Amino acid sequence: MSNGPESIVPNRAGRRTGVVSEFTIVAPLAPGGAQRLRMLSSSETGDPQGPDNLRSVRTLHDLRWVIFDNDTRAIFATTYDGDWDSYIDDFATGIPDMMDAWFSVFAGYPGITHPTVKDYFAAHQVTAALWFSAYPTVRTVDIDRNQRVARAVEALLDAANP
Amino acid sequence: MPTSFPDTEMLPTNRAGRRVGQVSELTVIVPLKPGGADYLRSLDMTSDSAGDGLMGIRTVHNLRWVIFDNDTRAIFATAYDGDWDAYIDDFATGIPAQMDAMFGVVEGYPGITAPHIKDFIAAHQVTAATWFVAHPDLRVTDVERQQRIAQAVDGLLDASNP
Repeated sequence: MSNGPESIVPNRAGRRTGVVSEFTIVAPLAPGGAQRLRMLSSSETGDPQGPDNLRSVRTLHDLRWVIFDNDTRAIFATTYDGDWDSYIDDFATGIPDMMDAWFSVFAGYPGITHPTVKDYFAAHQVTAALWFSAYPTVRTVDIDRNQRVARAVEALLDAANP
Repeated sequence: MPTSFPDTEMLPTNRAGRRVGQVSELTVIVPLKPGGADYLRSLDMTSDSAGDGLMGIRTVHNLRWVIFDNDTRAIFATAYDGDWDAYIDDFATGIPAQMDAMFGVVEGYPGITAPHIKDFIAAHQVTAATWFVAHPDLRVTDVERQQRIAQAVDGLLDASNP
């Protein structure tokens, strides 16, 4: 059994297996960008709505920000469902303020409403050489549904075995 | 329930990386040997042996290799369940040959059976500033179990509505 057909995301960079794709940006940070990124990430000064906002993006599995090269560059790496353009649109329409707060740490980021924002992402995206997902056919919304069903079944079994 | 990124915690013990719920991130930035980038690109994660090998590791959600800086460096980024040491052990005992194939492209890689292999990985690991997981409470085995239950329920409903 292979882990599903793998392909390049249609019309865009990045690699996909099944319905699950990877999106990785490696880009220079703006002056002070590393500090701002750490501040946004921190408990005391951070972005308290961050996780709730991210949970509202129904195509997102995971994401990470990694600062490297003495605070001069960062990696943004995410795992998501479906189309590249739809994914960016989900962020742009769902959580535009959060997008701008976070991505403005990158030098040259034009702003989420800017007509060239997708070109900016595409220009700094690096397609993974290798990509593996353990459950490539299961979207985030499927995981939510499966979890609800499994909990209902467990409640059913509990009811039958008091 | 309002939450913030501080939901993520540093890994217990003395290992690098960030964890939220059950799911941790491991990100390694490494120098490549000459020719290493081409070799990495030539590997096929969807071949039956590679797919089966990684599928056999019950703690990996996803992993990617990203080559950058003109084929001189690479990022290895993965999302996994449980302990850092146990995760490395899973790879070392489960797919040692594939580990050596993938990481053999890295300058200074000592081999998966070398006594200081964990020190080597730890020395190149960079802890993420931010780490978000849509389903932090679900391990890979939970995602799969819930999918089986949901599919069984779907089958049950189909049987009752022919």
